[in-house]
Amino acid sequence: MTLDFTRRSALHILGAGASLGAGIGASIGAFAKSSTANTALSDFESFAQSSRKNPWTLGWRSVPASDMSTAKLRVVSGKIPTGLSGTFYRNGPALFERDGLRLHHWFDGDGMVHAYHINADGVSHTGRMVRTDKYVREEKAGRFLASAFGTKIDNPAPVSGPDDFNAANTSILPIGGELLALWEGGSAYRLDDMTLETLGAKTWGKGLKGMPFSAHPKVDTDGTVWNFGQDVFHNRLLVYKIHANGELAGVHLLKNVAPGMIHDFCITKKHLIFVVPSFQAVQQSDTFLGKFKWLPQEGQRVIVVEKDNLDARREYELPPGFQFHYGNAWEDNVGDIRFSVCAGDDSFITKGATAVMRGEKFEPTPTYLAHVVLYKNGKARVEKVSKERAAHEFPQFNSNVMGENARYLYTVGDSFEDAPGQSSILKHDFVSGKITGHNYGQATVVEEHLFLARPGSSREDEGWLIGTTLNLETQRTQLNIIDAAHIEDGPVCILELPYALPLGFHGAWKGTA
Amino acid sequence: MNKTLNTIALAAIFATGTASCAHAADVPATPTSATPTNGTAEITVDIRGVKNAKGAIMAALFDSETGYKTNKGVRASTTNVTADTVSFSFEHLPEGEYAIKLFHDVNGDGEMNTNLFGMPTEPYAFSNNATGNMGPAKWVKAKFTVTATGTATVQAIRLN
Ligand SMILES: [Fe+2]
Repeated sequence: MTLDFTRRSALHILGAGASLGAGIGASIGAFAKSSTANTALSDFESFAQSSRKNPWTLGWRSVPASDMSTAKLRVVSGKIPTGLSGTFYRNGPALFERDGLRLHHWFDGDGMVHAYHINADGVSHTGRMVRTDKYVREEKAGRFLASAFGTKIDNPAPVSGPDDFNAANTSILPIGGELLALWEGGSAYRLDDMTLETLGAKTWGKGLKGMPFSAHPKVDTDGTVWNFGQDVFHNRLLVYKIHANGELAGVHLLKNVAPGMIHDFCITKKHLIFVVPSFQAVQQSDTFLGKFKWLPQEGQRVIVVEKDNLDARREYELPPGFQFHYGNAWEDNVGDIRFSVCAGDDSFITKGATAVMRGEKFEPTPTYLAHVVLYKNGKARVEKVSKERAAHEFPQFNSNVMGENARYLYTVGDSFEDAPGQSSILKHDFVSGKITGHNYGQATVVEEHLFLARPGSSREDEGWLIGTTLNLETQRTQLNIIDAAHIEDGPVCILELPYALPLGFHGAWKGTA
Repeated sequence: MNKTLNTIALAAIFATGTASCAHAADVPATPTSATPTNGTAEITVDIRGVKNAKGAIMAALFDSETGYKTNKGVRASTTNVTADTVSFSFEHLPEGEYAIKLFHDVNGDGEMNTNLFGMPTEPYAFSNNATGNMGPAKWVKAKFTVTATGTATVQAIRLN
């Protein structure tokens, strides 16, 4: 096959490793003590057993319906801030079981897109499964048909290309009046931005039908969108440049890109930066993921190309690693480039994301926040920024400082001791070195929080953090709005859905014009 | 309506395990010693699952593993598509083993279109409905035996 597929967030850097907050996890419900994998049980049976005793499994249950909506979310506390008006979109795997079979890997779940329409009067919710070709065919067949990212299906249907198992489950991009549900190894899917009805696979232009369009496009401060699609089986990567109005400006093929799984990238004012991790497609397997192998001896390779001349390329070596996500990147007057990264290894993608599907405990190596410096002279260096509040994931920052020397980065962090997931939203101040944050408590799993700049804001942290959490006690998904300048005060507004949604990956904001 | 083309641009429908090189299947228009027409066997191909009733089905017939692998066909066929089913035949064939590669030339440009990574962007199929893993089906899975019994051998093929 070709390309890349999906993988995405390492949210839930499970397990303890790095928990802080006293007593976190205590009330989440102890894991089954015998946490070693009982391979005699199918994934389906194992999860069913675990879900009877482990409240945390709520985050990995199939969504109860393919289409959901709530006209008005209940306000749990506070009020919606004045000036916050728009739609908060989210995407994530939501369907995990068919015909007695449970998917083996979290990233294989079919995508469900959510829209929270927000204004001063309140918040509504609409959630719809993306009607990918895969989803439609499997609905009809009543079973899973495609061996996808990390699940091998018996008696699979023929697969003619990655879009035959495109789960459209990773992120969302509002652009040019369209809403795109993003995967990694195949086409983006077009959705109606109000009803979330699936309109079909997106073709950007001639020769681009079925091409991979990854889930972490970068929106430049002028609205230009950069993205990539990787083909690990031919060591190549396609760069997309898209005008703010949604029209393709152009594509460019980068060759000699080692087959390390690239999930995300960064941009500075002048450059695109691709880190090729030490997790490479070098072996045969029935699944896409199975073709990858952790190759610490390989180190990581960084490819830097100029936005204005994508053939102008330089490369750097980094120590071994694998990560999903990067923070901001910038270059100084000398020409040195710096970027931040939620660094780690392959343990979550290879083991953690299958353990959660079985309802089993696994402790992946905690991710840590690091700065990488790429010196003009070709040398590179990694500086660990913080170790103590590890398990940082889902880095976000003020998009108004995209490509600049940003002061703040926001991440999810603080792993539970006895369950997958994290309990805090954190604010990293790179000037003072301080980390502040809000801990949602021992029974609440935190998902990605976006930073939304307050209209007309001047300070970088003047705005709101918006994100969902899954409350394991009330068994409800909550929507939280935090004043980013006062993150330690916790949400200024908490709203609640009348149901629990499975934990998702990434979101996007579209402000009311 | 059937017509034989000089060269049918049948993509190699992926190299092993990936989408890459698309190259044409070379099919002689004029029968040569390699393409005998004096046989009495016949193959009828019935195609279902056509999503767009336009363009043409372009098919190539192979009589050996080598020919199949190298896209050297012994016959070719182009059939206009006007409905969701399409039928055509290969006639006057010697008995033996055969396999078929075909694709739906939806936009009628005579080529099996691929994207920048070489993945086919038009529907395709192989005889026996054989499938490959993101690549062409192997000869052993696609081949079938044709005998001159007086009745056509039918290949019912569903397009991907
Ligand atoms: Fe991601």
